[in-house]
Amino acid sequence: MGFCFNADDCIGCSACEIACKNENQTPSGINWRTVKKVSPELFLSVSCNHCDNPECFRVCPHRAFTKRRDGIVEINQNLCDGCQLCVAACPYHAPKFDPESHKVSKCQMCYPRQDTGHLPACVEACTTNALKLVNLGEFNNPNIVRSLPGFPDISITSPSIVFFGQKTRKRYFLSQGRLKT
Amino acid sequence: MERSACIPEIATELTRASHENITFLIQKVSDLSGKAVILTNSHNQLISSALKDPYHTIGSIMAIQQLEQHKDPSFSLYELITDSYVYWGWGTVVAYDNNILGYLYLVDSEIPIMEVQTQTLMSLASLLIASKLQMKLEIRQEKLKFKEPFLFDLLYGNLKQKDEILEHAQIWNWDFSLQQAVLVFALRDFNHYATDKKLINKLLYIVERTVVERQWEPITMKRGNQVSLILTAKKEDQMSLKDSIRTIAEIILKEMDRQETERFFSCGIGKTYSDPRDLFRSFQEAKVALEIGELLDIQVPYFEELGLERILYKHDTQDLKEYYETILGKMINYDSIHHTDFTETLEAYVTNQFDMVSTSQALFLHKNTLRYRLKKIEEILGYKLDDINNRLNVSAAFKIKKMRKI
Repeated sequence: MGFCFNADDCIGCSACEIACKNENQTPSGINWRTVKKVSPELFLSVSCNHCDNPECFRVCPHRAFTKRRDGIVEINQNLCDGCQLCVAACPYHAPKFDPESHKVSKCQMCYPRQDTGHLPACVEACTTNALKLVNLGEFNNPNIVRSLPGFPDISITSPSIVFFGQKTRKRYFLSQGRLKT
Repeated sequence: MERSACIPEIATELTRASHENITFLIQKVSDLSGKAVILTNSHNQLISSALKDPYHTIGSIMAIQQLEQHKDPSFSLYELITDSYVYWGWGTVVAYDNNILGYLYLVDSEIPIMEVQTQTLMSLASLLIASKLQMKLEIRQEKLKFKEPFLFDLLYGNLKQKDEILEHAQIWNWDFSLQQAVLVFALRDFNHYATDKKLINKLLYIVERTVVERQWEPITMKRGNQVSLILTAKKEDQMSLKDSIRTIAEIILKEMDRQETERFFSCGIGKTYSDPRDLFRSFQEAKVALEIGELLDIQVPYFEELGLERILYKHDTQDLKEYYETILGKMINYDSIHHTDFTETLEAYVTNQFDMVSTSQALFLHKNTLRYRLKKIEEILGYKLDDINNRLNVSAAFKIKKMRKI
């Protein structure tokens, strides 16, 4: 499974970010999903991308990470000692270090919700359907792209996310009561 | 009525032999026919053989040519060229429920005559062999159902107990108690909806065949555009695991290049670990090596041999761009303004280990001309190229360029 993000539909409302925080009750200052404005008309909603080749996973000295068969990358906090090697290795800054608990936590793609047949909280909360959950093994659309401007380098990690880029929009003007392009 | 109810002795003997393994059954067919028997799979690769001379063995079959067809279309005359002898004989298809599972040949050193008894024997033997091969296939498929989830869990670090891994691996007779490493083979520009899935199956087949030919257990996993292979060290093997891995990787890539000339296959090799719980690291390292190897045109990249590239690949792109600009920026500007090619000259000098003679040979330049150019490059860059630190900087800058970070 993976995310599909339509940059054209995202209005930067941060509903996904709030829903994630509400669902997972993350501590203050720790947001597993963040919405950022990368250009005047482009918003990106970024969380852990549950990469096919997760670097966090490789560098962890305590083998705290696992990848489920559905592709979700989990972290077992009981094994984490807060060394933050994963934080440095992840190009998407997905693992978040909590200085209070001295542990790292990250988006787990709401697997308890998914296991009961629900969508992840961020996907369900998206007001414009810009964020979707897709099966990347089957999903194919000629318009999808692997990366967008402002998204970190996807080489090596192969993130489980695809994008629909922004379309060039026509501008319309009212001229003497008639719509002109 | 009594005659038809009587089971011929040949049938009884063959059926009894079929209760044993395939080798025994083949031997029985050979005894009954008085000819050598060769059984191959659907790809015409040897499964088993029973030859008249017990000291003579067939290593592999090089070529099979159909010479003529019998009146009964299920039999044909073939010429079989093996690694040691050339045989002639009658062959028939071993099929189960319309699926071809292999071919059965009754061969001799001369072209044999097809007798009715031989024909009956071959028909019956092929039926019995087909049910044996089908049973083997079903067992294999059943094992595969468990094998793939196990390998996924192993390669993605989901199994945290060493004993659990060793115990599970015993089901397929895999020994993870010694050293092991992961190799990943991939097809570039993979398309889910094209015939590329068949190509991946072919790659898997070639990988497994190459490994089996070298008496290794084929521990493989297919996922997307990649085929992963785990190679475990053998106690009796004199060759180091690293050298064996290189040989196997080269053979597989060469074979795929030969068979699919228009497509590009690459591979990456992770580090060797003695704890099977660390195999997931080797797997991830192999994938990193694969990607960097593609960028740097290394045919068989080992993660542990990558050196500086291992640090550069995950470094911040903007930072790398700034570094590149600082080290080589002046020369690139000079080249674009004056239409010179000092960058290429310096790159060749770096590629040739800063050796004047080999660089001049590579660039078809006289040594003095190269010396003049390097002096000019030093003037433009503002630093000396014989300083080891400057050399390191320059070669790192060109590595950044090669890794498509710029």
